[in-house]
Amino acid sequence: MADSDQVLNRVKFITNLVTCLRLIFIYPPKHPLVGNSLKNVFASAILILDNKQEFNLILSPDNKIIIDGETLSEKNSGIIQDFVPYFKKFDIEDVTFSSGITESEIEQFVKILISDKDVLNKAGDINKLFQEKSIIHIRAKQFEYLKVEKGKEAFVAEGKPAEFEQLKARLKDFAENKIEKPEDIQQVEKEIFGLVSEEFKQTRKLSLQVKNALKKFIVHNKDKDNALARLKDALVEYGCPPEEVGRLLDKISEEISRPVESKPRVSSADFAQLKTENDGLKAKLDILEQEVIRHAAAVEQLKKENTRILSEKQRIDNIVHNMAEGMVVVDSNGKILLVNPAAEALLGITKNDIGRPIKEVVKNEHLLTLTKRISSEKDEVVEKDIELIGADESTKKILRTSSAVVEDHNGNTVGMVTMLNDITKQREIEGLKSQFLANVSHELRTPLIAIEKSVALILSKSTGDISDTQNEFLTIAERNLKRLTTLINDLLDLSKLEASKTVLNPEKTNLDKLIIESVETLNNWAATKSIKLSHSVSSDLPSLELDPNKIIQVLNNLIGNAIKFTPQDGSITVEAVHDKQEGVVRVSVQDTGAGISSEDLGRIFEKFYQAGDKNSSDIKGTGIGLAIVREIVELHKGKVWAESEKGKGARFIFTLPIWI
Amino acid sequence: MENEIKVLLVDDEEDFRKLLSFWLKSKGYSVVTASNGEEALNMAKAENPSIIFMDLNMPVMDGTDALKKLREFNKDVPVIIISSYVDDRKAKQAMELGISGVFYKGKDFQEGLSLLETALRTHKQLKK
Repeated sequence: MADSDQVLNRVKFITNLVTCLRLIFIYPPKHPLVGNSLKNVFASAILILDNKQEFNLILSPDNKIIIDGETLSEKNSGIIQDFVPYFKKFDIEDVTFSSGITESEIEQFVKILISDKDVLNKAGDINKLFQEKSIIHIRAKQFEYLKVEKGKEAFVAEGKPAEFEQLKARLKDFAENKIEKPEDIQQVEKEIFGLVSEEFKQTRKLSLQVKNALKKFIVHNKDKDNALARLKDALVEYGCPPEEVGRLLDKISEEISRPVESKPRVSSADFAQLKTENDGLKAKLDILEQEVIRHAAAVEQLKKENTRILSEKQRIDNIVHNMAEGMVVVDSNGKILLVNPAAEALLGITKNDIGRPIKEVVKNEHLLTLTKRISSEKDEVVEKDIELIGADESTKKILRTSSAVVEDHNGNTVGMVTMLNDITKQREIEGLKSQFLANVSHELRTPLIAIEKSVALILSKSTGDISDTQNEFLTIAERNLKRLTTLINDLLDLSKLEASKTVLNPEKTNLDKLIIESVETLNNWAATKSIKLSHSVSSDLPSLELDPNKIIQVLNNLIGNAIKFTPQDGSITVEAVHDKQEGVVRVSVQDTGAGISSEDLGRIFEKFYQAGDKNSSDIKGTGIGLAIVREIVELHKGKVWAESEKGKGARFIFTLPIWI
Repeated sequence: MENEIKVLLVDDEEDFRKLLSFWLKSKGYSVVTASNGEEALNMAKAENPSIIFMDLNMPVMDGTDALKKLREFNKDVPVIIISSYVDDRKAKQAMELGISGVFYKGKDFQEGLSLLETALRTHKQLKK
């Protein structure tokens, strides 16, 4: 491999290592950035190891990074120097990486690099720590750390650090001509030569400190050349290859003869520029680091927000899941979006049906019409009671459905939500109540009728003459009976009215059929007063969704009222037309009776309000009939009103909307 | 009285029967009674009344069934239904079988009488 490539690989290794150390400090260990950077470190280590068994990494005393004897220069990459503090923490001589190293060993190594000094100190032997972390392809050569003067670093040789400081002190004296005795000078020479020999033998170079010490010795030596010659001999004798020794000494001579310390290779202008660039890059790095930290903080924030939202969603999901009411949501195309367990049970559909169009899954027509009808009034909630026959024909369920449109935040219809309530039990109870009411009604009225008739017969003297006193008291009885009857009728009718607050049971119906039925029911009654009862239904009447029983009640009531209030030989006309413009069907009952005064006209639909002669003993009703009519018509989302003038007959009109 | 008009009164309530038949008798009609649909049919055959007042809700056989059966052998005789409630749906059924009116128990007997008279009048006219 070309030298330049090797240099590049080494630089890359350190660069990647530094990057990784920074990232692992900021990001959680599982973060993809961290994973990637570890991979890079590993890859560059492998590249260096190519064809080699191992490579080693040393930090020089002047904090230069040396890999396999080659110093990595800052020129290649500014950040490699940032590796130094991490390495220094170790207090070791060198680290060796051998082939067979794995990614996880790299990861552990990096983690150790970022641990606190205390952790490292506690571990004691670094290699022991490596072993604990299953690192077998990285070895550290430990320093023996000896106490030295504060601020000064000991020389890199086992067992000989302190002496170098003493030597330096003596050289200082030597340079100042304080050492005069030849034996002393010889001693100094011996020591310095010994030092140089040792270092040169081991590393084939001289570290800056030692070199400077030697130079100092030579420079201030009165016998330079001989000293150098003696040095040469000493080195060769020590075992250093003569060629290299020669080269070394030549270099030293050269350096010594140079008057000034080697000129800086960088001109001051370049240096200034480099410094500016460096400062700029440092500043950028700071900014980036800040960004990274901010980013990490933002991520934390998002994580928190996410957790909060998830737990809220969870809460709502729980509610929807557990509530007793069924909930079904379909989109505007009729596809099922959501169904909760209660709805599943009621409709016999499952979560697997989500996404399918509802008409594939739900067979009941009534339920399906719910999804088709999106009302133009978007705030409206449409309520319907729907009967479902269960799987075995004997079980019947009645569901109360409430549907409303779902809009997005722009107000567009995106679907429909329907709530389902099983009201079978409720209906049963209502049925029982109704039945009870009917029974009570009958049971109350029957005895009253019998009493009334008995009293009336006696009073009419058909049973024979009665005394004045008997007359008087029987009249009292009769009057109170009337009061009682009226009261009971009112109470029973009121119960009926309250009961009619139940939701309608709509069916597709032809209104003309209902009109015919009602007219036929009342025709003979009309005939007894010789009243002509006719009807006309326009042919283009669409069929409507309405509750036929209730509408019959309305027709019977209106036509019945017309008959009551129309004298002999009058006529009553029932008409039904389709008003396309308004989108309604309009039904009117016109009579030729006495008409309704304007003051009554506004109030006749009120509960208990009775128009006409209040003193009449004719029990015309309780004033609730029209209130019931209004209730029913309005439940169908229609309107009812009356038009009349006193003496000119009356016209009662109600409309029923046409559903799409 | 000569040419007394015979009324068949059918109702399951004894008290009501007593009262109404007294009233009708006091107005000059002759009255025979029955307390359920089955009896009513027997009486109708046996007594050949000019008009029948019939309650709808009766045990054994109710008014509607009795009316159906009656119409099988007698399409002629006018029948006035007696009803306890104002919105009796059964009354509607009875309509289809041809009746001449509905008398609501709560009303005055006088009204019942008018119904009767009108029905007879109409019937006579139809016969002509």
